[in-house]
Amino acid sequence: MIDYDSDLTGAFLSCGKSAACPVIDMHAHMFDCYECNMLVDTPEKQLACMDRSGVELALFCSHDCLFGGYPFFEGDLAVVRRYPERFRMYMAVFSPDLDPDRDLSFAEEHRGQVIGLKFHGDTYRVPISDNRHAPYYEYADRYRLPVLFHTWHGSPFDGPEEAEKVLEKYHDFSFIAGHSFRDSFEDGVTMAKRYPNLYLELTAVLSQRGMLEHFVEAGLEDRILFGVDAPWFSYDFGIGALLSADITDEVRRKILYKNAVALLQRADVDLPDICKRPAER
Amino acid sequence: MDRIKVFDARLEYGRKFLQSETECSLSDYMRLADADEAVVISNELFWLPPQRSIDIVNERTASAPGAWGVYLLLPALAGEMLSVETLAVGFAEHRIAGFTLGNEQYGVPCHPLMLRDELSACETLHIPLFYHRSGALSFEFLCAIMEKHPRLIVVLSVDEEWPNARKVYPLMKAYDNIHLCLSEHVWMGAVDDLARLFGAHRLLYSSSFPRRYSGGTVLMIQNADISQAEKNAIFYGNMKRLAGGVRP
Repeated sequence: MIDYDSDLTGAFLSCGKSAACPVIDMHAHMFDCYECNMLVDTPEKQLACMDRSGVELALFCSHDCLFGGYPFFEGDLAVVRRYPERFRMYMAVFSPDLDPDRDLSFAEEHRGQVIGLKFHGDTYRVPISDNRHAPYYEYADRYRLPVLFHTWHGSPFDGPEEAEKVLEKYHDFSFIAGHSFRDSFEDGVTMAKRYPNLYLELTAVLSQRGMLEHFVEAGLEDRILFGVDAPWFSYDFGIGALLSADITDEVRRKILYKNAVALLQRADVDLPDICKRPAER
Repeated sequence: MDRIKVFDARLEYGRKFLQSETECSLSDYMRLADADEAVVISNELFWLPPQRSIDIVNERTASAPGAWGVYLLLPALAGEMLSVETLAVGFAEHRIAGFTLGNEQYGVPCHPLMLRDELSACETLHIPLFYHRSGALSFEFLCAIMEKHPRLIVVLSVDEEWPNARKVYPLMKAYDNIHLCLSEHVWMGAVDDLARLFGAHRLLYSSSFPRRYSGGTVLMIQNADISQAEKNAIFYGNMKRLAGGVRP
């Protein structure tokens, strides 16, 4: 049920956003996509949606980079340069064309704009534990970067077993399980308890009522991150789902921005002030 | 913040085939779903033959204020159900909002010919068809139905959440009696775009409860770039108009 007694519900339903609760989107994409047409297909349209819903910062990897790799990195970087206070990029680790020297030089040269890495084993059909990824993990470990993985139930490329192989080996970077191992949520909970650097991200979780409460009841409220696969899905839909979940406003705040701030500060990411001190606004 | 009054255009309830989950009362279920009124799709429609599921639907609408029922549509010629015209006489008394299809479960071929008399009657009597795109109830079948019955009032819901404007928009443009349930159309910018292209009067609040959180669709509509009057229509007025528009 919608928590009409909550201050956040009042703010979001009456203004569309909350001045005291900025939102950090930890799982975004950008531009159109061959798989499904995006109605929001430019950085400007995406920004307009962010403004409307109080999303102050989005970490993204464009579809172009995901499907095309290195030649498209500059396109994402251009967006970050144009809107440095609003967008930062995950650099795609494009398994069909790995070149650690080239790719990590790019990441190093643009540190601060490139704030982490993105893996999509299911798309590339390459297991995330493949040894060829080691230089990327070592780099992320060194700087304690956020690394966003697409994770999905039963996948031989990025399912729970593959994730565990990576988590057993690397303990310093933040392993963000995009979709929280959709349909293997219990595995996500078990592993999050075992590995303190594993975070559960909510894209596709919020479309299954009850899962979020399960994560919170399992004691993982500090390890849950907000995302909706923007521009695939609506910020309002995701935030509205949070307002219906049987959790407190303080937990909602952790999910919407506090956990993200802590994770990004751990990686020495220079955050926009608006994300650091929302209560002072 | 005042509670937002909603009419849920598609709320599934009741016992599913070969399942045994405990059910709360329909009134409690609607309260959990934040629904002031709701079109209730009884799960028994898809396994309990129509003459018996009709009784269940009528009992439910009688027991739960704000609940509107839906009957299953099968070819009346086979003797399994009364004609649409006969059933429609009792729609107001039993608060029935329309019909839905179960061709796949009942083995009725998905071709408009199989339900020609029934769909013609729905068209004439302004009875909404609640069409849930899933399995054999494809977009192609809906296109075929609409080609034969272009004035049919349709309440369309889908079983996928992926952005699907490519599939839905041409159909919405071709037939202005198709109305869209929004709870699975949760793509970024969808409400603004759908309202701009087709009009807010063709958009309907739905929750997809219990699978989804009702607040998702509520905030998506509430924060859309449309007027408050349009929001109110989507939340409540549009479905109320459709449900009450049957002319037996």
